[in-house]
Amino acid sequence: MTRAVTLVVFFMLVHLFAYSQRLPVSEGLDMPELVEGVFAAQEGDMSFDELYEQFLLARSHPSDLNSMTSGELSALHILTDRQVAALLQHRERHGNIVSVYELQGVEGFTPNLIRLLNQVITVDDGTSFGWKGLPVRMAAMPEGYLVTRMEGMIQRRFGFRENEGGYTIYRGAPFRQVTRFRSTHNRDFSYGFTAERDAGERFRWNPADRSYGPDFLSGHLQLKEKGWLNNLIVGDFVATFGQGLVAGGGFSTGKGAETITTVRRPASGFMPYTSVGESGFFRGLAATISCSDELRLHLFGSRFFRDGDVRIRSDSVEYLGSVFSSGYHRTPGELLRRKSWLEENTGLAVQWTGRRTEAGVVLARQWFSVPLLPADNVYNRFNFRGKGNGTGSVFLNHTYRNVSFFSEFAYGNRDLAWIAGFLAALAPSFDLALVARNYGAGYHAFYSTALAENTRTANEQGLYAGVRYKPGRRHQFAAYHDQFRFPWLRFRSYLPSCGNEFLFRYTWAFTRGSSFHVQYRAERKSVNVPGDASAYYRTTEFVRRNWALQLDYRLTEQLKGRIRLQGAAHSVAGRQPQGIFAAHDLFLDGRRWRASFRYALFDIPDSEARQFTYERDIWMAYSFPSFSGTGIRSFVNVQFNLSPKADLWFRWAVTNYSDRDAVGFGPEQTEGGRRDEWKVQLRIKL
Amino acid sequence: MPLCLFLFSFLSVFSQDPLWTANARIRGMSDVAAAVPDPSAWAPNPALPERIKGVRYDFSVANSWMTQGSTAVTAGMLAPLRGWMAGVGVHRFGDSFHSESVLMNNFSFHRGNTSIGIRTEYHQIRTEGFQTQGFLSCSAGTTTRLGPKISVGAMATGLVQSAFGETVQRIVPHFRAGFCLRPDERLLVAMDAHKRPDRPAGIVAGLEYRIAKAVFARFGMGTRPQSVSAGLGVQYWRLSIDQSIRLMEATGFTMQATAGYTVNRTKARE
Repeated sequence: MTRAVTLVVFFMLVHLFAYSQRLPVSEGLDMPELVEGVFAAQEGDMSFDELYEQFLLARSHPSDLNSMTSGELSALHILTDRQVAALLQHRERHGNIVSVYELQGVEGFTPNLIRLLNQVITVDDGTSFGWKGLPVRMAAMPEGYLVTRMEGMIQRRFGFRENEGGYTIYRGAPFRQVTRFRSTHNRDFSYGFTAERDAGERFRWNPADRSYGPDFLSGHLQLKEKGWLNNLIVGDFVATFGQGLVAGGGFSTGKGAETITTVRRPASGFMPYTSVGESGFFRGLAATISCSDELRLHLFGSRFFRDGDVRIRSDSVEYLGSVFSSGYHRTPGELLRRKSWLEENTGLAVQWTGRRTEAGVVLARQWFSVPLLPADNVYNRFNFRGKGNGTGSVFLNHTYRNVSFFSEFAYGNRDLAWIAGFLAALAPSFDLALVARNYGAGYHAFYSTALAENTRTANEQGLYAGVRYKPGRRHQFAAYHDQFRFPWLRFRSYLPSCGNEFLFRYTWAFTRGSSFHVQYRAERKSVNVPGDASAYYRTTEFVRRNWALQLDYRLTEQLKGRIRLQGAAHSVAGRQPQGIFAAHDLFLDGRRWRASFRYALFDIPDSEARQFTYERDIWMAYSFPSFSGTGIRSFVNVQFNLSPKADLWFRWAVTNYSDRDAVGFGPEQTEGGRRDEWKVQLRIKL
Repeated sequence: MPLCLFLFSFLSVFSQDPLWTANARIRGMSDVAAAVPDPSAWAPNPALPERIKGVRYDFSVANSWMTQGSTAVTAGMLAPLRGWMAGVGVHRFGDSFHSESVLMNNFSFHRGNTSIGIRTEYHQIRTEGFQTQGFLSCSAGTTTRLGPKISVGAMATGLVQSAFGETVQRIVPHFRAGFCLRPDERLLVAMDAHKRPDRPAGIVAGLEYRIAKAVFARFGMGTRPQSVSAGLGVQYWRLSIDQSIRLMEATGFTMQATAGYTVNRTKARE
């Protein structure tokens, strides 16, 4: 309690100090606010990297408002279904939108919404460019950029230390490198590549083991709207159809502080994959053919070597024990698993898009070079086993007045899965989302990302209800409640179980640029009793409770700040893990530079109550670290506009633990209670 | 008339469900009861019988087809009584092996934007082979309109219980507080927090939406115990018919239907 009071007093003092700062800041898309809205739920077992990168990429390449489909508009996660429908109707009645100012005439588009939308869309005259002059336009590299980034840690990790024989666990250099290039032209083309090497990985050229320099290489060439060829991608891509039960690549958020728009998956078809995540995408060819204005045929084929633990059975038959998706290839063991098995995917989708109805059929077939045989545990009983898997689904979406229905019914691995729901604007100030789902214990689709509590879309039944109420311009209430049931056993919960999750968030925008929000989230789930290793597992209730308070303020046009307090108070098997994290951020904006600072204190004695918090990072990079123990976290990010075509970023982050002499575990461990991380990035606009 | 109603009340009733008084409308919203006005004698919050002119009759049947012998029947009458609203009702739950019956009298008083109410209940519990047990209990509630769109309410049931004879059976006291919001004339949203001394607190939330002039759709969810409810209601002339279905942890599905009829109804006083 004393610590908590000290933290509060400290941050009040810092707040006072902030008033003495008078530095310039410019308007811009508040990425942290958007990201925190979507990722408000703190989960330790979720990978946010890929989600965040795709979120950022979608926003760093504004799309043309006149050519966006309803799915693409929904995928922005800014517009409600009602607003999307109003915009499409406006386009139908009045033709292409000439300027963003015209949006003021569209029902439900407020000035604030238009201001936000303006930063992620463009408006062009609707011209399709065709094949003529394509090489010249591509060579001109419109909206092209090249980004290169290095990042590392000052302290030497155990994995980089030489043992007595002069060997290290990690074979490569102790810093990470990322290089990205991309050029896009709306309604015409996109091409680019991404190269990445994690800390500890080597730069190798050996075609025999599929090493071509950097550890991870990705690239794509996309052509759009070339007559009947609506979309063609060669290289890496993701596919999203229906509600993502069969193919759900790309950005998906699921449950979060945005309680309405994110529960429905937009059917965005094929999109280039440009992230540094080393799994979750296809590599090959994808094409969308326009048979008519309403009817489209999507075809794709993919062939890709992936990481996995290939073992040999007693009868000398090779099999795949588990699939790895971390993308790390630093140690001899990790290198053995690198690109060790081949995955092939083929599929097609037929999609009919009417004025208010969208329907389609998706068929996909997956083949592995070695059979997948997961460990023979009871909770794995219904999991997929074998070399090939076929999945199929039908989806139907329909908008009627103020209600937007969506659904998908799928079959795979001899089991069924379905999801159905609706988003409804019941009153001008009140929105409701209701989604029911039932995924069979045996249902299997590798690339499924439909709304689920489990990490896989299998063995789950649930009902989600989300509401959003805006009684006025300045106030907003949002809440969701999700009830779920797992008919079969789960990892670390060896009995059929049920649970629920609840989130409430109130936001008060008291002045322009200044706001306050409070959020509470509770989740009740069943887990095995800790420490019970008996043959007959017993389960107990694990209640996770997270709360957050945040105040955003703007002192001048150039100086903004944020105070955030968040904490956890869990309850499991008689224990009550608790923790608190308090941070103060400052954001400054100069004519040719930008900077952000954070000073944070955390006091989290039990790692079970560890706190995940979003940190503002340099452009196209991502930071969502977790904290446990007692200590101080601080960082500084600086961006310099070296010239109109070049930007330089720098980041330094320090974590000081006062309760330990070493940080991390295994090869990642460093001596002492301090960790210093750095990042440097250069962007050249071409 | 009020005196007749009071005399009629000497019949019998009951069940251990803390919100056994809920009709199909309230049940369709997952038992959000603390602040939702209800034009029936069995309004779960004793302060909340809607102020009507004339006499209102209600009849309700509920059945949980996954639990044998769990049919519940409720009947009630509600009428104005010199500035008060008075209601009487009977409730019976169970079968020939085990049955619980309740007889109740409800009085609510309205002044300004506030209402208070009190309900007395006589419970009788019969189980084959055991002695019949009977006891009196009391419930109370209050509600306040904070504005044209929002009202709050609180209620407590099973407050005072006096036993007759060798009675050892008791109903568990139950506390509930919540709000009712009307963002739009077509929409009603409500949420309650509820607590019993022997269980952790839970939350229920529900909404009612008028999908056509006389047709209402309802939905609700609750925690501890987990429940999901949905319902439909029709109001035509003096007649209202409501239907609900609830899926609850342990008890499974429960269907309920309620019919209400108002005699000499002119208009509501507010």
